[in-house]
Amino acid sequence: MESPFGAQVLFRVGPVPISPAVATTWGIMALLTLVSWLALRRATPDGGPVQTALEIVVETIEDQIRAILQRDPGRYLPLLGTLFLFLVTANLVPALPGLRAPTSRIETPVALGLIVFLSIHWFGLRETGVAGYLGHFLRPNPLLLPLTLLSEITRILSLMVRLFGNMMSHELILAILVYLAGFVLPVPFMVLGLLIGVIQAYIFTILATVYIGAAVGAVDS
Amino acid sequence: MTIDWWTLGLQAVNFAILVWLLRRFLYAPVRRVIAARKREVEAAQEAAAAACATAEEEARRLREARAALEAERQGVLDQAAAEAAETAKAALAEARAAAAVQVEKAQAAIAAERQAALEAAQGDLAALATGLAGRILQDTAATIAPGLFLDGLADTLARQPEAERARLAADMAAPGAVATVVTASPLPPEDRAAWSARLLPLLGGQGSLGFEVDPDLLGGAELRVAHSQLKFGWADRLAAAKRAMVGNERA
Repeated sequence: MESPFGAQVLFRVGPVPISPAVATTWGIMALLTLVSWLALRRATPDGGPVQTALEIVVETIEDQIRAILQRDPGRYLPLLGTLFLFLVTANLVPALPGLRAPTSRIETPVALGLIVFLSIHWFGLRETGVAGYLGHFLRPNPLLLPLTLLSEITRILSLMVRLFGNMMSHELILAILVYLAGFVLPVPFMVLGLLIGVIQAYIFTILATVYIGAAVGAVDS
Repeated sequence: MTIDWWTLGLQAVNFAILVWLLRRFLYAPVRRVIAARKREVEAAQEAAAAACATAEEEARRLREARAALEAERQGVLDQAAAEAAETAKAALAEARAAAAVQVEKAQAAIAAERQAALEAAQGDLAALATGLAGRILQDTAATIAPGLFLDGLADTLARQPEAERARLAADMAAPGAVATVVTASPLPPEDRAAWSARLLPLLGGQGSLGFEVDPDLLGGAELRVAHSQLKFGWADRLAAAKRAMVGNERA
Protein backbone atom coordinates (compact mmCIF):
# COMPACT_ATOMS: atom_id res chain seq x y z
CA MET A 1 0.00 0.00 0.00
CA GLU A 2 1.17 3.46 -0.88
CA SER A 3 1.72 6.05 1.81
CA PRO A 4 -1.18 8.49 2.22
CA PHE A 5 1.38 11.20 2.63
CA GLY A 6 3.37 10.33 -0.44
CA ALA A 7 2.97 12.01 -3.82
CA GLN A 8 1.33 9.88 -6.47
CA VAL A 9 1.06 10.68 -10.13
CA LEU A 10 -1.39 8.93 -12.36
CA PHE A 11 -0.45 10.86 -15.45
CA ARG A 12 0.72 14.30 -16.37
CA VAL A 13 -0.91 17.09 -18.31
CA GLY A 14 2.07 19.09 -19.36
CA PRO A 15 3.91 20.01 -16.22
CA VAL A 16 0.89 19.27 -14.04
CA PRO A 17 0.90 15.90 -12.36
CA ILE A 18 -2.52 14.35 -12.09
CA SER A 19 -2.89 12.24 -8.99
CA PRO A 20 -5.45 9.45 -8.57
CA ALA A 21 -7.33 11.66 -6.08
CA VAL A 22 -7.74 14.36 -8.71
CA ALA A 23 -8.84 11.86 -11.31
CA THR A 24 -11.32 10.32 -8.90
CA THR A 25 -12.59 13.80 -8.06
CA TRP A 26 -13.14 14.46 -11.75
CA GLY A 27 -15.10 11.28 -11.95
CA ILE A 28 -17.15 12.30 -8.97
CA MET A 29 -17.72 15.72 -10.49
CA ALA A 30 -18.79 14.13 -13.75
CA LEU A 31 -21.07 11.72 -11.97
CA LEU A 32 -22.79 14.34 -9.83
CA THR A 33 -23.14 16.74 -12.73
CA LEU A 34 -24.39 14.07 -15.10
CA VAL A 35 -26.93 12.71 -12.65
CA SER A 36 -28.14 16.22 -11.85
CA TRP A 37 -28.36 17.18 -15.48
CA LEU A 38 -30.12 13.99 -16.54
CA ALA A 39 -32.60 14.14 -13.68
CA LEU A 40 -33.34 17.84 -13.84
CA ARG A 41 -32.87 18.87 -17.45
CA ARG A 42 -36.62 18.75 -17.93
CA ALA A 43 -37.60 19.39 -14.36
CA THR A 44 -41.30 19.88 -13.78
CA PRO A 45 -43.37 20.13 -10.62
CA ASP A 46 -44.54 16.59 -11.37
CA GLY A 47 -41.12 15.08 -11.77
CA GLY A 48 -39.98 11.46 -11.74
CA PRO A 49 -38.55 9.48 -8.84
CA VAL A 50 -34.93 10.55 -9.43
CA GLN A 51 -35.93 14.21 -9.52
CA THR A 52 -37.99 13.72 -6.41
CA ALA A 53 -35.06 12.05 -4.65
CA LEU A 54 -32.76 14.93 -5.59
CA GLU A 55 -35.36 17.42 -4.39
CA ILE A 56 -35.58 15.59 -1.08
CA VAL A 57 -31.79 15.64 -0.73
CA VAL A 58 -31.53 19.34 -1.55
CA GLU A 59 -34.46 20.26 0.69
CA THR A 60 -33.02 18.24 3.56
CA ILE A 61 -29.71 20.05 3.23
CA GLU A 62 -31.58 23.36 3.06
CA ASP A 63 -33.51 22.52 6.19
CA GLN A 64 -30.29 21.70 8.02
CA ILE A 65 -28.67 24.95 6.91
CA ARG A 66 -31.77 26.92 7.80
CA ALA A 67 -31.95 25.31 11.21
CA ILE A 68 -28.37 26.27 11.99
CA LEU A 69 -28.08 29.65 10.31
CA GLN A 70 -31.63 30.80 11.07
CA ARG A 71 -31.91 32.45 7.69
CA ASP A 72 -32.60 31.72 4.05
CA PRO A 73 -30.18 29.00 2.98
CA GLY A 74 -30.09 30.03 -0.67
CA ARG A 75 -26.79 31.90 -0.43
CA TYR A 76 -25.02 29.09 1.46
CA LEU A 77 -26.56 26.09 -0.27
CA PRO A 78 -24.12 25.82 -3.20
CA LEU A 79 -21.05 25.66 -0.98
CA LEU A 80 -22.40 23.59 1.89
CA GLY A 81 -24.60 21.36 -0.24
CA THR A 82 -21.77 20.64 -2.65
CA LEU A 83 -19.47 20.01 0.29
CA PHE A 84 -21.81 17.38 1.67
CA LEU A 85 -22.60 15.72 -1.65
CA PHE A 86 -18.97 15.65 -2.69
CA LEU A 87 -17.79 14.27 0.63
CA VAL A 88 -20.47 11.60 0.74
CA THR A 89 -19.68 10.52 -2.78
CA ALA A 90 -15.94 10.70 -2.24
CA ASN A 91 -16.11 8.77 1.01
CA LEU A 92 -18.25 6.07 -0.60
CA VAL A 93 -15.96 5.66 -3.60
CA PRO A 94 -13.93 2.91 -1.88
CA ALA A 95 -16.99 0.69 -2.20
CA LEU A 96 -16.06 0.42 -5.87
CA PRO A 97 -13.18 -1.93 -6.55
CA GLY A 98 -9.84 -0.31 -7.29
CA LEU A 99 -10.85 3.18 -6.23
CA ARG A 100 -9.75 5.12 -3.18
CA ALA A 101 -11.44 7.99 -1.47
CA PRO A 102 -9.93 11.32 -2.47
CA THR A 103 -10.44 12.39 1.11
CA SER A 104 -8.01 9.74 2.28
CA ARG A 105 -5.27 11.83 0.69
CA ILE A 106 -4.20 14.84 2.72
CA GLU A 107 -4.46 17.27 -0.20
CA THR A 108 -8.25 16.95 -0.58
CA PRO A 109 -9.20 17.63 3.10
CA VAL A 110 -6.69 20.47 3.15
CA ALA A 111 -8.14 21.95 -0.01
CA LEU A 112 -11.65 21.67 1.36
CA GLY A 113 -10.53 23.07 4.70
CA LEU A 114 -8.95 26.05 3.00
CA ILE A 115 -12.07 26.66 0.99
CA VAL A 116 -14.17 26.48 4.12
CA PHE A 117 -11.74 28.78 5.92
CA LEU A 118 -11.95 31.36 3.15
CA SER A 119 -15.71 30.97 2.89
CA ILE A 120 -16.18 31.59 6.58
CA HIS A 121 -14.48 34.94 6.36
CA TRP A 122 -16.09 35.77 3.04
CA PHE A 123 -19.58 35.20 4.36
CA GLY A 124 -18.72 36.94 7.65
CA LEU A 125 -17.43 40.04 5.88
CA ARG A 126 -20.31 40.05 3.45
CA GLU A 127 -22.95 39.62 6.11
CA THR A 128 -21.65 41.87 8.90
CA GLY A 129 -19.27 44.23 7.13
CA VAL A 130 -15.55 44.69 7.68
CA ALA A 131 -15.84 46.48 11.01
CA GLY A 132 -18.51 44.22 12.34
CA TYR A 133 -16.69 41.10 11.29
CA LEU A 134 -13.31 42.17 12.61
CA GLY A 135 -14.97 43.39 15.77
CA HIS A 136 -16.34 39.99 16.56
CA PHE A 137 -12.76 38.75 17.06
CA LEU A 138 -12.47 41.17 19.94
CA ARG A 139 -15.44 39.76 21.74
CA PRO A 140 -15.94 38.83 24.45
CA ASN A 141 -12.55 40.31 25.47
CA PRO A 142 -9.87 41.87 23.27
CA LEU A 143 -7.27 40.13 25.37
CA LEU A 144 -8.51 36.87 23.96
CA LEU A 145 -7.73 37.97 20.37
CA PRO A 146 -4.65 35.71 20.02
CA LEU A 147 -6.57 32.75 21.23
CA THR A 148 -9.48 33.64 19.00
CA LEU A 149 -7.24 33.88 15.96
CA LEU A 150 -5.54 30.66 16.95
CA SER A 151 -8.91 28.93 17.25
CA GLU A 152 -9.83 30.14 13.78
CA ILE A 153 -6.89 28.19 12.46
CA THR A 154 -7.02 25.21 14.72
CA ARG A 155 -10.69 24.48 14.18
CA ILE A 156 -10.14 24.37 10.44
CA LEU A 157 -7.09 22.28 11.03
CA SER A 158 -9.07 19.90 13.20
CA LEU A 159 -11.80 19.84 10.56
CA MET A 160 -9.48 18.70 7.82
CA VAL A 161 -7.41 16.39 10.00
CA ARG A 162 -10.57 14.73 11.35
CA LEU A 163 -11.76 13.95 7.87
CA PHE A 164 -8.40 12.90 6.61
CA GLY A 165 -7.59 10.85 9.70
CA ASN A 166 -10.85 8.93 9.66
CA MET A 167 -10.78 8.12 5.99
CA MET A 168 -7.07 7.38 5.87
CA SER A 169 -7.10 5.24 8.98
CA HIS A 170 -10.06 3.30 7.68
CA GLU A 171 -8.18 2.54 4.50
CA LEU A 172 -5.14 1.51 6.49
CA ILE A 173 -7.19 -0.83 8.65
CA LEU A 174 -8.79 -2.39 5.60
CA ALA A 175 -5.41 -2.83 3.97
CA ILE A 176 -3.98 -4.46 7.09
CA LEU A 177 -7.00 -6.74 7.39
CA VAL A 178 -6.79 -7.75 3.75
CA TYR A 179 -3.13 -8.40 4.18
CA LEU A 180 -3.61 -10.50 7.29
CA ALA A 181 -7.00 -12.19 6.82
CA GLY A 182 -7.76 -12.26 3.13
CA PHE A 183 -10.87 -10.86 1.43
CA VAL A 184 -13.73 -12.04 3.61
CA LEU A 185 -13.02 -10.57 7.00
CA PRO A 186 -12.71 -6.95 5.78
CA VAL A 187 -16.28 -6.93 4.37
CA PRO A 188 -17.96 -5.83 7.64
CA PHE A 189 -15.28 -3.19 8.02
CA MET A 190 -15.97 -2.02 4.50
CA VAL A 191 -19.66 -1.64 5.37
CA LEU A 192 -18.64 0.17 8.52
CA GLY A 193 -16.45 2.34 6.35
CA LEU A 194 -19.45 3.41 4.32
CA LEU A 195 -21.18 4.51 7.51
CA ILE A 196 -18.05 6.30 8.64
CA GLY A 197 -17.85 8.06 5.28
CA VAL A 198 -21.41 9.37 5.54
CA ILE A 199 -20.92 10.42 9.15
CA GLN A 200 -17.68 12.23 8.36
CA ALA A 201 -19.30 14.02 5.45
CA TYR A 202 -22.13 15.08 7.74
CA ILE A 203 -19.77 16.19 10.50
CA PHE A 204 -17.56 18.14 8.11
CA THR A 205 -20.53 19.90 6.55
CA ILE A 206 -22.28 20.62 9.83
CA LEU A 207 -19.13 22.01 11.40
CA ALA A 208 -18.49 24.16 8.36
CA THR A 209 -22.07 25.42 8.62
CA VAL A 210 -21.63 26.15 12.30
CA TYR A 211 -18.41 28.06 11.64
CA ILE A 212 -20.10 30.08 8.91
CA GLY A 213 -23.02 30.67 11.25
CA ALA A 214 -20.64 32.00 13.87
CA ALA A 215 -19.10 34.31 11.31
CA VAL A 216 -22.44 35.72 10.14
CA GLY A 217 -23.65 36.13 13.71
CA ALA A 218 -26.23 33.37 13.67
CA VAL A 219 -24.31 31.09 16.03
CA ASP A 220 -22.28 31.92 19.10
CA SER A 221 -18.67 31.12 18.44
CA MET B 1 5.19 13.62 4.76
CA THR B 2 4.87 15.55 1.56
CA ILE B 3 1.98 17.54 0.23
CA ASP B 4 1.36 17.57 -3.46
CA TRP B 5 0.58 21.22 -3.98
CA TRP B 6 -0.58 20.54 -7.51
CA THR B 7 -3.12 18.11 -6.21
CA LEU B 8 -4.13 20.48 -3.44
CA GLY B 9 -4.64 23.30 -5.89
CA LEU B 10 -6.41 21.11 -8.40
CA GLN B 11 -8.73 19.77 -5.71
CA ALA B 12 -9.57 23.27 -4.60
CA VAL B 13 -10.26 24.28 -8.17
CA ASN B 14 -12.16 21.07 -8.76
CA PHE B 15 -14.36 21.75 -5.76
CA ALA B 16 -14.97 25.31 -6.87
CA ILE B 17 -15.93 24.03 -10.31
CA LEU B 18 -18.17 21.42 -8.74
CA VAL B 19 -19.87 24.13 -6.71
CA TRP B 20 -20.54 26.01 -9.90
CA LEU B 21 -21.70 22.91 -11.75
CA LEU B 22 -24.07 21.78 -9.05
CA ARG B 23 -25.32 25.28 -8.59
CA ARG B 24 -26.25 25.33 -12.25
CA PHE B 25 -27.42 21.75 -12.76
CA LEU B 26 -28.76 20.80 -9.36
CA TYR B 27 -29.62 23.59 -6.96
CA ALA B 28 -30.99 26.07 -9.47
CA PRO B 29 -33.33 23.55 -11.18
CA VAL B 30 -34.46 22.16 -7.85
CA ARG B 31 -35.19 25.62 -6.49
CA ARG B 32 -36.99 26.52 -9.70
CA VAL B 33 -39.10 23.38 -9.47
CA ILE B 34 -39.82 24.02 -5.83
CA ALA B 35 -40.72 27.61 -6.58
CA ALA B 36 -42.94 26.49 -9.46
CA ARG B 37 -44.58 23.91 -7.26
CA LYS B 38 -45.05 26.51 -4.58
CA ARG B 39 -46.62 28.80 -7.14
CA GLU B 40 -48.87 25.98 -8.30
CA VAL B 41 -49.86 25.25 -4.72
CA GLU B 42 -50.52 28.92 -4.11
CA ALA B 43 -52.47 29.12 -7.35
CA ALA B 44 -54.38 26.02 -6.36
CA GLN B 45 -55.02 27.51 -2.95
CA GLU B 46 -56.15 30.76 -4.54
CA ALA B 47 -58.32 28.81 -6.96
CA ALA B 48 -59.68 26.79 -4.05
CA ALA B 49 -60.28 29.98 -2.12
CA ALA B 50 -61.97 31.51 -5.15
CA ALA B 51 -64.01 28.35 -5.62
CA CYS B 52 -64.85 28.41 -1.93
CA ALA B 53 -65.86 32.06 -2.21
CA THR B 54 -67.90 31.25 -5.30
CA ALA B 55 -69.49 28.33 -3.49
CA GLU B 56 -70.24 30.51 -0.50
CA GLU B 57 -71.69 33.15 -2.78
CA GLU B 58 -73.76 30.48 -4.50
CA ALA B 59 -74.84 29.15 -1.14
CA ARG B 60 -75.78 32.66 -0.03
CA ARG B 61 -77.69 33.19 -3.26
CA LEU B 62 -79.45 29.87 -2.81
CA ARG B 63 -80.28 30.76 0.78
CA GLU B 64 -81.72 34.05 -0.41
CA ALA B 65 -83.63 32.31 -3.19
CA ARG B 66 -84.91 29.77 -0.69
CA ALA B 67 -85.95 32.56 1.64
CA ALA B 68 -87.69 34.31 -1.24
CA LEU B 69 -89.42 31.08 -2.19
CA GLU B 70 -90.41 30.57 1.42
CA ALA B 71 -91.80 34.10 1.56
CA GLU B 72 -93.58 33.57 -1.74
CA ARG B 73 -94.93 30.24 -0.51
CA GLN B 74 -96.09 31.88 2.70
CA GLY B 75 -97.67 34.66 0.67
CA VAL B 76 -99.43 32.16 -1.55
CA LEU B 77 -100.58 30.24 1.51
CA ASP B 78 -101.82 33.42 3.15
CA GLN B 79 -103.59 34.44 -0.03
CA ALA B 80 -105.09 30.97 -0.41
CA ALA B 81 -106.15 31.03 3.22
CA ALA B 82 -107.70 34.47 2.76
CA GLU B 83 -109.44 33.36 -0.41
CA ALA B 84 -110.60 30.20 1.31
CA ALA B 85 -111.87 32.21 4.25
CA GLU B 86 -113.59 34.62 1.90
CA THR B 87 -115.07 31.75 -0.08
CA ALA B 88 -116.18 30.04 3.10
CA LYS B 89 -117.65 33.28 4.34
CA ALA B 90 -119.49 33.78 1.05
CA ALA B 91 -120.61 30.16 1.03
CA LEU B 92 -121.76 30.51 4.63
CA ALA B 93 -123.63 33.69 3.82
CA GLU B 94 -125.14 32.05 0.76
CA ALA B 95 -126.04 29.01 2.80
CA ARG B 96 -127.51 31.19 5.46
CA ALA B 97 -129.48 33.13 2.87
CA ALA B 98 -130.65 29.90 1.27
CA ALA B 99 -131.50 28.53 4.68
CA ALA B 100 -133.35 31.73 5.49
CA VAL B 101 -135.25 31.43 2.22
CA GLN B 102 -135.98 27.79 2.97
CA VAL B 103 -137.03 28.68 6.49
CA GLU B 104 -139.15 31.48 5.16
CA LYS B 105 -140.66 29.18 2.56
CA ALA B 106 -141.22 26.53 5.18
CA GLN B 107 -142.74 29.08 7.53
CA ALA B 108 -144.91 30.36 4.70
CA ALA B 109 -145.87 26.81 3.80
CA ILE B 110 -146.54 26.05 7.42
CA ALA B 111 -148.58 29.23 7.74
CA ALA B 112 -150.41 28.43 4.54
CA GLU B 113 -151.01 24.88 5.67
CA ARG B 114 -151.99 26.16 9.04
CA GLN B 115 -154.29 28.72 7.42
CA ALA B 116 -155.67 26.09 5.11
CA ALA B 117 -156.17 23.70 8.00
CA LEU B 118 -157.70 26.48 9.99
CA GLU B 119 -159.93 27.45 7.14
CA ALA B 120 -160.80 23.82 6.53
CA ALA B 121 -161.53 23.40 10.21
CA GLN B 122 -163.55 26.59 10.16
CA GLY B 123 -165.36 25.41 7.07
CA ASP B 124 -166.01 22.05 8.61
CA LEU B 125 -167.08 23.69 11.84
CA ALA B 126 -169.28 26.18 9.99
CA ALA B 127 -170.76 23.39 7.92
CA LEU B 128 -171.32 21.36 11.04
CA ALA B 129 -172.77 24.34 12.88
CA THR B 130 -174.97 25.42 10.02
CA GLY B 131 -175.97 21.83 9.40
CA LEU B 132 -176.97 21.46 13.02
CA ALA B 133 -178.62 24.85 13.04
CA GLY B 134 -180.34 24.02 9.77
CA ARG B 135 -181.74 20.77 11.15
CA ILE B 136 -182.80 22.49 14.34
CA LEU B 137 -184.41 25.32 12.39
CA GLN B 138 -185.99 22.86 9.99
CA ASP B 139 -187.47 20.99 12.95
CA THR B 140 -188.59 24.16 14.70
CA ALA B 141 -189.80 25.89 11.50
CA ALA B 142 -192.58 23.36 11.25
CA THR B 143 -193.84 24.47 14.64
CA ILE B 144 -193.61 28.17 13.80
CA ALA B 145 -196.41 29.70 11.81
CA PRO B 146 -195.08 31.39 8.65
CA GLY B 147 -197.21 34.41 9.54
CA LEU B 148 -194.73 35.24 12.26
CA PHE B 149 -192.20 36.13 9.56
CA LEU B 150 -194.42 38.84 8.08
CA ASP B 151 -193.28 41.50 10.51
CA GLY B 152 -189.68 40.75 9.85
CA LEU B 153 -190.10 40.85 6.07
CA ALA B 154 -192.15 44.04 6.34
CA ASP B 155 -189.52 45.70 8.53
CA THR B 156 -186.84 44.65 6.12
CA LEU B 157 -188.76 46.10 3.23
CA ALA B 158 -189.42 49.28 5.16
CA ARG B 159 -185.70 49.76 5.94
CA GLN B 160 -184.81 49.59 2.24
CA PRO B 161 -183.43 52.85 0.85
CA GLU B 162 -185.97 55.15 -0.75
CA ALA B 163 -184.46 54.64 -4.22
CA GLU B 164 -184.74 50.88 -3.86
CA ARG B 165 -188.32 51.16 -2.75
CA ALA B 166 -189.04 53.49 -5.63
CA ARG B 167 -187.55 51.03 -8.08
CA LEU B 168 -189.56 48.19 -6.51
CA ALA B 169 -192.71 50.31 -6.77
CA ALA B 170 -191.88 50.99 -10.40
CA ASP B 171 -191.54 47.28 -11.03
CA MET B 172 -194.81 46.60 -9.34
CA ALA B 173 -196.47 49.37 -11.41
CA ALA B 174 -195.94 47.36 -14.52
CA PRO B 175 -199.05 45.72 -15.87
CA GLY B 176 -199.55 42.23 -14.42
CA ALA B 177 -196.66 42.66 -12.03
CA VAL B 178 -196.62 40.03 -9.32
CA ALA B 179 -194.48 40.08 -6.18
CA THR B 180 -193.83 36.52 -5.06
CA VAL B 181 -193.58 35.58 -1.40
CA VAL B 182 -191.56 32.39 -0.88
CA THR B 183 -191.91 30.53 2.43
CA ALA B 184 -190.59 27.19 3.70
CA SER B 185 -194.09 25.95 4.39
CA PRO B 186 -197.32 26.89 2.68
CA LEU B 187 -199.12 29.88 4.10
CA PRO B 188 -202.67 29.32 5.15
CA PRO B 189 -205.18 31.15 2.93
CA GLU B 190 -206.17 33.44 5.76
CA ASP B 191 -202.53 34.54 6.22
CA ARG B 192 -202.01 35.24 2.52
CA ALA B 193 -204.52 38.11 2.68
CA ALA B 194 -202.81 39.54 5.70
CA TRP B 195 -199.45 39.30 3.90
CA SER B 196 -200.89 41.02 0.84
CA ALA B 197 -202.50 43.72 2.95
CA ARG B 198 -199.26 44.35 4.73
CA LEU B 199 -196.72 44.15 1.94
CA LEU B 200 -198.43 45.62 -1.14
CA PRO B 201 -198.70 49.10 0.38
CA LEU B 202 -194.98 49.01 1.01
CA LEU B 203 -194.49 48.14 -2.71
CA GLY B 204 -196.47 51.10 -4.00
CA GLY B 205 -199.92 49.57 -3.62
CA GLN B 206 -200.04 48.23 -7.19
CA GLY B 207 -199.85 44.67 -8.61
CA SER B 208 -200.61 41.49 -6.77
CA LEU B 209 -198.82 39.16 -4.42
CA GLY B 210 -198.12 35.54 -5.25
CA PHE B 211 -197.02 32.75 -2.93
CA GLU B 212 -194.57 29.88 -3.39
CA VAL B 213 -193.12 27.25 -1.12
CA ASP B 214 -189.42 26.42 -0.95
CA PRO B 215 -188.45 24.00 1.90
CA ASP B 216 -184.84 25.00 1.45
CA LEU B 217 -185.55 28.31 3.09
CA LEU B 218 -185.89 26.43 6.41
CA GLY B 219 -187.86 29.32 7.77
CA GLY B 220 -188.50 32.95 7.21
CA ALA B 221 -189.57 34.34 3.85
CA GLU B 222 -188.31 35.88 0.60
CA LEU B 223 -189.87 38.55 -1.53
CA ARG B 224 -189.15 38.41 -5.24
CA VAL B 225 -190.06 41.43 -7.32
CA ALA B 226 -189.19 41.30 -10.99
CA HIS B 227 -185.38 40.95 -10.86
CA SER B 228 -185.05 41.89 -7.19
CA GLN B 229 -185.05 39.61 -4.18
CA LEU B 230 -185.65 40.70 -0.60
CA LYS B 231 -184.42 37.85 1.51
CA PHE B 232 -185.61 37.19 5.02
CA GLY B 233 -185.16 33.39 5.00
CA TRP B 234 -183.30 31.36 7.56
CA ALA B 235 -181.33 29.51 4.92
CA ASP B 236 -179.79 32.79 3.81
CA ARG B 237 -179.08 33.75 7.38
CA LEU B 238 -177.39 30.41 7.95
CA ALA B 239 -175.37 30.86 4.74
CA ALA B 240 -174.32 34.32 5.88
CA ALA B 241 -173.46 32.95 9.32
CA LYS B 242 -171.47 30.17 7.69
CA ARG B 243 -169.54 32.63 5.53
CA ALA B 244 -168.85 34.72 8.58
CA MET B 245 -167.62 31.64 10.45
CA VAL B 246 -165.20 30.59 7.69
CA GLY B 247 -163.94 34.18 7.49
CA ASN B 248 -165.04 34.94 3.98
CA GLU B 249 -167.54 37.39 5.19
CA ARG B 250 -168.31 39.08 8.44
CA ALA B 251 -171.83 38.60 9.60
